[in-house]
Amino acid sequence: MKLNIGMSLVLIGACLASACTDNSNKDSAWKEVAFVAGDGVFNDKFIEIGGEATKGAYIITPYVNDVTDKGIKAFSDNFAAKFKGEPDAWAALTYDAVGTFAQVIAKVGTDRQKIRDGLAAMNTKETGYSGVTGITYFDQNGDCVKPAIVATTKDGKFTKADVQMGTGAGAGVVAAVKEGKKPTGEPIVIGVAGPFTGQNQAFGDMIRKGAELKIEEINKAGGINGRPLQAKWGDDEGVNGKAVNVSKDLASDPKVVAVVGHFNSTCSLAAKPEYTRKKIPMLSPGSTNVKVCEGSDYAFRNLYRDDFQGQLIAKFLKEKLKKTKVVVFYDNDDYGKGLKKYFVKEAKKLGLEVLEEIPYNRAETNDFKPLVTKAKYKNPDAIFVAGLYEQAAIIAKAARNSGMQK
Amino acid sequence: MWEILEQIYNGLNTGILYGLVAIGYTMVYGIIKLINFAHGEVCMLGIMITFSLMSAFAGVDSAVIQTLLFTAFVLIAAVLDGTLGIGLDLVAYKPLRHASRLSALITAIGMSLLLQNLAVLIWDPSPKKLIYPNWVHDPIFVIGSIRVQYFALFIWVGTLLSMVCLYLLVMKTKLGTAMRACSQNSTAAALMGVRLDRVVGLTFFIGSLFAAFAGIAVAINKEGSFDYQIGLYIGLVAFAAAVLGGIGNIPGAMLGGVVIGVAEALAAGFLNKIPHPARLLSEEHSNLNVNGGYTQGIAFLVLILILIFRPQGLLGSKGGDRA
Repeated sequence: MKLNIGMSLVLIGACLASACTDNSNKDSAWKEVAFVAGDGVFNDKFIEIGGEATKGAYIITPYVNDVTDKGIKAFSDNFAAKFKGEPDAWAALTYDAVGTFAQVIAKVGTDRQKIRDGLAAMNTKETGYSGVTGITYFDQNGDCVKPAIVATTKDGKFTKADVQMGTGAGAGVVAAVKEGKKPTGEPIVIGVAGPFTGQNQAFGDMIRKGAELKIEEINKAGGINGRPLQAKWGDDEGVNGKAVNVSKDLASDPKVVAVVGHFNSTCSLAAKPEYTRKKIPMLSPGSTNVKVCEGSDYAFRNLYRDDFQGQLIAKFLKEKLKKTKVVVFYDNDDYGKGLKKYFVKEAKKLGLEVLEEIPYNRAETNDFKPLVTKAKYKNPDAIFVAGLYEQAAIIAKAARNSGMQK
Repeated sequence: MWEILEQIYNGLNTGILYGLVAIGYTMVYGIIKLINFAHGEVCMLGIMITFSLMSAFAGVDSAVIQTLLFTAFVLIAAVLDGTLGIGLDLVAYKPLRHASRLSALITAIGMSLLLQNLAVLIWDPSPKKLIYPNWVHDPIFVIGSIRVQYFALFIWVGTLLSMVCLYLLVMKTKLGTAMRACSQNSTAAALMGVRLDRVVGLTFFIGSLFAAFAGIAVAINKEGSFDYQIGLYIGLVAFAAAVLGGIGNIPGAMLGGVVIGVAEALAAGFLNKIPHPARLLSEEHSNLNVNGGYTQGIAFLVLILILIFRPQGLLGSKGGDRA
């Protein structure tokens, strides 16, 4: 009896399959419905997982590997020679973060407090550090003033989009790598903390590569005041509890003079108190949550904040893409919630209607179909994802398959 | 209207997959009274094996060849996974057959962690993309605004067939009779000449086979994206489904899976903001946004509510020795 039901189902299915076909959405990009995401999505895995469905998505990022820029080309070539592949924003920002510390240490020596004061003194464009992601300089909070770039996916790669907000960044004046005397003596150690294993390993890999490349270049050019630079790696796995352990480990090591990290906003927030207590400067190459540098003299970052990013995305949707109704998906952590909050605030101001705010949990959400279905019935003309690459790719694909994009 | 139907459709699709995994829990429990917490990891390893095999042939462009390869690899992965299930029993549970139930339970948790870490060692922890024929997401037909995908057809037919086969195996064959005898009283069954170890091994094989199929389908349902932790969450939900349906009861496991799947989808689809308790004091607190973020919480809430009124589960019989 049950077998018969199964058989007839197959038959019905086969008949209907031949009767109706709806493959019209195959090749079109995100057009009637726009797909926009924050910088947490800026990783090649987004394209790898999402495939076709990521075509034409817009992603906000602090850096695009735009080889038409001279400074970026040199960096990109060196990176490719050492690791194969292209650097992404996080490799570039880490590369610049290590460079920033090197410049400060060369000037003031290896005292933690002096390095912190040295960073704080970089408060104008002229005193800032000029690197591949533009000029890094800090306001009194420790936050960085840097523009954002709109990237899009094309031919399986991130490229600069045709539509931009503002002037865009472009590299600063990047000095060529010179050969120097082999550095000698006691190495200068900086901590580099990030998600080197775990779910966010794809980010961690880029951070490690960026740091390794800059350290190698500095040592090739003679080190810092004749002393070699060395990294002490701290793997926080992208988990805030682990980040606390890493911060204790790095801060209690008297050799470590400064820390590049952490990456996830959640981790930077968790690690900050320990660094502040031990008076060791931290410079994050990826945390954009607004509160990361708040309330501590020792926390810095070399990219924009989520309030800037959120406002920019809202403006981009409303003014450049002329969208009016948006559904927001956000990751239920410090990064996702923060970015969403500022996006929604700005959207309300601009008259961009936020139809629904849909949270998800990075690790626990097994099934995104119900969430995407919910979005579909709101009939948005844009989707914004405030989260990381893997889930953004799933959402893009599920939305396409559910028939959201005609 | 269509929205509700589509959410139920979503829920049924994941629900039967949870049900398939839950069958593995429930069958093992029925016979050796063990909650095999490593079952979710068996599920994950099935996906990993398929992932590795498919990645080796990533360059294949032709949809037909890719489909054939995928079918073959899924079968290979399922059989390997089934064998792994038998191995798991031989290595971890068989030596403890006469030990206390608690030791076996703790061993199961240990095996779960071991297999997870093994997967990290072999495949590294980054998120993976399972390559599968993309046409399974094409719609067979469209009712209203619901696009019924080929994928849904496959999992429904597949699940139905598996259930029918399982029914025939358990109710109509000698082996099935032996299984039922063992679940009633394994000592007496052994005295009557039933080879207990063989029956238990077979149970693990079938459960793991189903887990592999279901796991791969869950990964496809998630657009092919997964990582080593996927087994943990599938396992947790499927365990809840098995308990909900009445642990030890095979149709119950399927029913439990469907109930939890639909509850999750409806919770994700229709629960919106609930007032934050602190809003009573000041307007500054925004409402708690529960949709999506708390779907699993809702699934377990359903479990708790049902267990309060029917402690034996939906289809379970009243028995005194339930853990």
